[in-house]
Amino acid sequence: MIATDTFGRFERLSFVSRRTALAGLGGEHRSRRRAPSTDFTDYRPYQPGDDFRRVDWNVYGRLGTLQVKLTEARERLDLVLVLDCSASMAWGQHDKLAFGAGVAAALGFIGLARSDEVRLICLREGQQPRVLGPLRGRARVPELVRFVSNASASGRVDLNQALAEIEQADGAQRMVVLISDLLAPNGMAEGLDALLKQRTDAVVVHVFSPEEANPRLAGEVELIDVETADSLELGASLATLEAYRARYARWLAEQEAACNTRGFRYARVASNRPLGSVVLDDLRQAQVLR
Amino acid sequence: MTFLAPLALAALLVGPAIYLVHVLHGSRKKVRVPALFLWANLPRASSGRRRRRWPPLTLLLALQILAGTLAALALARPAISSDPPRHLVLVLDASASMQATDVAPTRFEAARKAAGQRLSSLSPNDRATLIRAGSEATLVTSGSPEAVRAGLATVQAGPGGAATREALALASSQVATTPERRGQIVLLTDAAWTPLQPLGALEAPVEVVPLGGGAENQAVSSLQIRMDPSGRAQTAFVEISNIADHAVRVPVRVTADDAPLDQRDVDLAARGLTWLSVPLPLEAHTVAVRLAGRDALSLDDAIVGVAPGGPPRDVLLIGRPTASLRRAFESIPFVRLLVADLASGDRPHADVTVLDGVLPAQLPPGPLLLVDPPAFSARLLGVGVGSAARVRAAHPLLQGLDLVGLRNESPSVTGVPGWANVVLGTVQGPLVLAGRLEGHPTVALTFDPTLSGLEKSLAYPLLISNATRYLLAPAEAPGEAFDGNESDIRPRAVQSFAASAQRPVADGWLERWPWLLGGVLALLTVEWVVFARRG
Repeated sequence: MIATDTFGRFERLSFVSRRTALAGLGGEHRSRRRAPSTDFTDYRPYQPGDDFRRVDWNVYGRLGTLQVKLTEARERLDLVLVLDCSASMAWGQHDKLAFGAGVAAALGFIGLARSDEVRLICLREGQQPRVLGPLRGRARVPELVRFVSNASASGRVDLNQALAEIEQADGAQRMVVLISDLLAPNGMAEGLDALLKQRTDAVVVHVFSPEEANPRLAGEVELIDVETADSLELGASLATLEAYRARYARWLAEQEAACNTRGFRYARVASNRPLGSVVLDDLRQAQVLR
Repeated sequence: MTFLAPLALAALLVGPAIYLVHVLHGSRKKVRVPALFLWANLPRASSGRRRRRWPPLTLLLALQILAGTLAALALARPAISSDPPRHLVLVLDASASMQATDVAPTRFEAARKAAGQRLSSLSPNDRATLIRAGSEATLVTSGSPEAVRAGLATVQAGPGGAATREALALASSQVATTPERRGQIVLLTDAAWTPLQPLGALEAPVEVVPLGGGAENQAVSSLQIRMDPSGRAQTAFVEISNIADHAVRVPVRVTADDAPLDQRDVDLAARGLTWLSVPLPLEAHTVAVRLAGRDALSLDDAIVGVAPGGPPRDVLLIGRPTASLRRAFESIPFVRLLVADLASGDRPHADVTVLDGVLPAQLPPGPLLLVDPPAFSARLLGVGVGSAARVRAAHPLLQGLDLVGLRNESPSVTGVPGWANVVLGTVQGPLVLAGRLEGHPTVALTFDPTLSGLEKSLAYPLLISNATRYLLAPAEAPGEAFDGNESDIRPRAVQSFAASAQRPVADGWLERWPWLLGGVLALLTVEWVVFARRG
């Protein structure tokens, strides 16, 4: 169950897009298009045919030349929220999938509140992803919340393939927010490259469970992968756990580096954190929101 | 070594089954992780990805398999062959001759020691029974060898004879109660017995353990005191016998009312006897004769008799005295007969009280002679086992009696009271009893002499006279009388007793499964300790 009562605190937030929004006029994001608006950007000399109402007469009074005011159009952002629904997301004392669904709902709310075009994709194993949207308008928030609330975790998801297959609507640029634990043996580098090739602005919200970082194992154990059911017998000693923690830290750094080197933003959030703190603090600090 | 339940050996499959369970399920704790690739190739991590593998034979696994194997073996009831459990019946001759000291300290103590050794040879699984063959056969105790050993310490020899025949019959019946055990009867006796009447086939073979063997004994076998017809003198006639096979000279001392009266040395031929006549003072009351020599048996070296002389003894007659009973007492020269009513509260003191047909709740003081007591009295209820059919012909009560007439009597009681010994009895019940009733020296004639006509025969006054003398004699009356036949302590030929065909008794098996079960518990304890220490 997603607690939407905190969403009121997100009213004033909006996404920070590193690409110009091109999803259509009527949004609140800057556009390369010049269109009548109140957002002044520059002057240019008057040319025949220009709208006479856009001449800045104050400048003419000072300089004696006709200068036309240029304004910037505000466009909607094409926001794609991708939620990883693999089995590993349901692992841990604090359910990563429920936590990720909450983050997706909050981000969707923020997008809809800013008149953005929001799509939501739940990645599943062996099936077409569940897709909701595009949605527009604050009135679609309940539908969005219902959709993510019904997400369930199972199987394994190939992030590379999933990211590459995200359809690009009308060739417009979009902002993809991947919410995942990134626990895929093949990684996500190829998927990120595909997004980069499409000049997509991507954000990776890396959800991790505290138990992943500090597992509590002792003695002879048989590890079973929740996604593949593969097993691995292990004599868990202190040295083993120490080596695991080192490897895990290295793996985290690799994930962050993979995003940074491609110009994507990366935010790592623990699944036991309050949703409000994640949205208001972590994602703003990662310059995903402002 | 064999297995009494061999089918249970199929349970030995529990060992491989335990190993198979470890193969299938393993002993490792299963832990689900979100991603396995982060754990691959870590230190001490197994690179194998097999779901199943042969588990190493750890200490815990070995203990489990061993415990299961031992439990399966215990189910099969392993046992080793052993002798079947035994039932040893010890028949201890408790006759007077067993007190002879020709075996130090006495024959009876030697018998007790030999019985103890027999008990020591038994195993705790065996059963033992101890029977005392005194004047009556008594079952002392039966149970474990240790319980019987405790009972053995309490048994004492008596002054009477040995009811050996009854004791062997009782032993045979005891053996019959344990058909699953191999029975054996051991008779510990000096064999100083008269030949036993034939016994039927016994349930177990009888081993006779002879004890003693000497015949060095002299006895005062009889003392008769007669008043001269003139009534002015009385004479004691003493019979002294020599049991030994050689002639002896024995000093004899005669006292009258504890005053020395005569002392002389008497020469006795081998296995002979002699009579002495000793004149007594007219006023002599109690006469004692003692042999001063040393022989094997001291019980028969002295005898005490009541002289008719001296002041008359008062005999109080209570109840419904018949004329014949009165005449019988009146014929005794030293008796003054008194008659009182049962309801009378002021009864005169008497040396002997005769209760004829009555048995009041409050018994009169002094010795008692019960004549045809009421059979419904609780004092006459029979206890114990065994028949009352016996004749102790040498008993002072039966001296000089023609017992043929007495045997036709019909006893009014069927059992033998606990306080009494049977002097004469039939298979229907006792006829003449002697003992101590509530502390009173008592003789009981448990029949009505008027029914059979005994009162009209000569035996009746003689029986009354014997009973009166018996009750008045200070040494004789308090307890069981010495059986004169016991003076002959010479061992006789050992009889053989026929045993019925041995019952088929299965060989015994000493089962070992309790040890295995104990081993299983110990292994489980060790396994638990090992498991707990490993955490």
